[in-house]
Amino acid sequence: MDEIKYAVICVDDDPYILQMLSFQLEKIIDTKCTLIEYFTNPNDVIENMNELVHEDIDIVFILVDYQMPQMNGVQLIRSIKNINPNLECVMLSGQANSVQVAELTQDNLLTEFIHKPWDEKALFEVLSPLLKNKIDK
Amino acid sequence: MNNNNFNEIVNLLNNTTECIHLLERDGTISWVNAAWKKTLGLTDKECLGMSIQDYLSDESKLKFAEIFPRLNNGESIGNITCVFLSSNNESIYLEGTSTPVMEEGIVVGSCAFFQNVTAQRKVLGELRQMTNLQDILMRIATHYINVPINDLNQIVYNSLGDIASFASADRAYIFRYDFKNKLCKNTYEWCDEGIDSQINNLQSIALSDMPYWLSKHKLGECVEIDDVELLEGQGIKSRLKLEGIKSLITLPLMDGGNVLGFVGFDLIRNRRTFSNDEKNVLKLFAQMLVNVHNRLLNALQIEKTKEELEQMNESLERQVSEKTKRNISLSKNIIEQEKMATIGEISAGIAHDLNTPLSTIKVGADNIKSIIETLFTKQITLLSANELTRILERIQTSQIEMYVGGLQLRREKTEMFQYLSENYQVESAELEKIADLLVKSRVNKEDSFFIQYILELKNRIQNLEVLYQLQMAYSQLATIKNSSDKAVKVVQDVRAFIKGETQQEKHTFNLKSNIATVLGIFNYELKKEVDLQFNVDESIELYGFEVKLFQVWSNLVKNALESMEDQEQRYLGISAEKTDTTLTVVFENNGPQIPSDVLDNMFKKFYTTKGRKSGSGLGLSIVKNITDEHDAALNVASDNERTKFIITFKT
Repeated sequence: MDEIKYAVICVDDDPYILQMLSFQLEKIIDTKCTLIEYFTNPNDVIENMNELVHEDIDIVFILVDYQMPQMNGVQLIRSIKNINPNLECVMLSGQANSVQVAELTQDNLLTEFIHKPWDEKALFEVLSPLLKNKIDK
Repeated sequence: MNNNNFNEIVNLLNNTTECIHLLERDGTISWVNAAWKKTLGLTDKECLGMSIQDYLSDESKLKFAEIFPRLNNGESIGNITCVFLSSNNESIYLEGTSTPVMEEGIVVGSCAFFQNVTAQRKVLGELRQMTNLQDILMRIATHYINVPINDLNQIVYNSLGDIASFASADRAYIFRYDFKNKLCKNTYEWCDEGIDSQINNLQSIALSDMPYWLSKHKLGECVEIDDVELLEGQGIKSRLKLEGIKSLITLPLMDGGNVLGFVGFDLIRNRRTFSNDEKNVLKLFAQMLVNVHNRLLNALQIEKTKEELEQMNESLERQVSEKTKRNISLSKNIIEQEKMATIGEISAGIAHDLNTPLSTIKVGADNIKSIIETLFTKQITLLSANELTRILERIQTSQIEMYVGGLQLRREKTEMFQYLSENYQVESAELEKIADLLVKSRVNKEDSFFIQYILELKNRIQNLEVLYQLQMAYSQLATIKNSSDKAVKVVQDVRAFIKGETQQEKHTFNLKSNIATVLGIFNYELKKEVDLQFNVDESIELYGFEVKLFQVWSNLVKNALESMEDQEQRYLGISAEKTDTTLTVVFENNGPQIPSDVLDNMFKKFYTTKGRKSGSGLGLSIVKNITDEHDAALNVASDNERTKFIITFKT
């Protein structure tokens, strides 16, 4: 079996969203060398990320919902960026005009914002270049 | 008796003040003394030999006719009062006795001795008249004061008659001056029997026809015409003569310095002068008429004012009732609006709650479309009917996880690869592909029977691809269904919450689901790091206004969320406890302690501490309102750890 070198992370408190994402992401992500990890609880993310880093796995991007219990997507991204400032963070949310999201963008902490519901094509347009940048290098 | 004696006696009789007459049996005057003649203004020549009847009033003639037979029978009669008519036609009252004159036992005539009591009579008559007058005036005055306004016309007419009778007038009337139109008008008229009414001819007399009258009346003076014949102004004279008037008096109706009109009395049968006493009475009467006129005006004014007030009252009542109605509907509106405002405030959350399931529905639909395209353009056409049936059976009988994490997936794949390579002789690259598809399709090693079936198939890769694709389609269809249910639930909660007036009847409903509906509305807000403890027993039923209670819970939730906004840890506990007689629902939060002055005012309308947030200030007053409607007690307890809203229903 091939060696796992990469990972992408999806965080949404709604498992249905993760289900939809998983089906779509598998179309553009080669799971032979890339892990796709899903989290419904943002609190589990950092711990898992550390594990991945420990395993020398490169995280290509993290796809985060905004409104979640325990912690919102902005808070999660801010703490992730504290640990890994170069990680591409994409927000996938139904949230409209949140001040916190705007601040996140201003602080250059957000790579892209995708509105829910999303088009597969639009999602891929954002994610494919990120994948290419990392994996094809 | 000799002649000398006789002369002496005659002389004596002529010097007495008593009136003495001697009559023959038939009443012929045979002798009268000097006092008699003087009293009646007659000479011997004029009266001797005449009948006593010629000098009597009609009434006294009848009396004498009754007395004579008695005298002729020899009876003496005392206390006779007769009215004689003097030469100038004045009534002379004589009072005395009459005795028969006897000659040889036979009555030959009569002899009467009378005192002239005319003066006393007159005084007496005047006294009586004054008394009558007082009576009349008293009666009129009392009537005028007490009579209902509607009867005043009749009373004025009656009093005119009374006064006219007193003054022996044949016609009495009231005229009103109309200075604006320079006219005067007869408004009331009383006529004695047999006297013609003139009122219809006197409705519009030009003031220019009566300058003298007007000038006198304006000065408050009477116009007296003792004898119409002696009048000089021809115009008025001919008019008065036409009406048959011999004498008249008119008195102005003075209201302060203004003349309103006049009251007048006509003498038609006899001409005479009105005495001062009569004039004073008439003046008094005139003043009374003015008073009654003013009273009438006042009464009319009062009546008018009363009517205006009534109208005003009516209109006020109408306005008040309209305003009340409007206020009631306004307060209903306010409650409704508060509800809509709540929805508005949390609309972003509701939108989010709707958007989440809608997103999965939309994306799921896109995915299924792409699956179908994949199936038809690629593998599905290569599969036999039996193969497809088998795949479908597998899908329908297996539980599918929605997604599998990468690490787990990898571990499972490794295990599956190992299992396959141990059991089947397949080329490694294909085996890896098979393992990948089996794991992605959630087939594990325990499904060895199915794995064997697949691996024995010639086009096993295609079968696995179709299995995977169809499995994804089925699983996402299930998600679409679940997401639709979630979206429907959101809409149902919102609809239930805003249902409003349609359901006003009290009924029994489940408390937990009632509160849950509201929590559903606040789902998005509650997800924000709130530790929600919803501990209401599912068996608890409540009798009340289901929809109205939504607003109680929603306001309590809303307040709790707002109060905890600035803190890290947010706790919202909802619990209910039922006893035999009560049901207590407690909403508890760990927001800051509510100051006592706020506690005192928090249930008042428009009281708000949320200066920065849009709060109607109605929330808790509506809570109070609705709990009152349920006859439930509403209590608040707040310390620095917890704030509790405790609602106690009677059951």
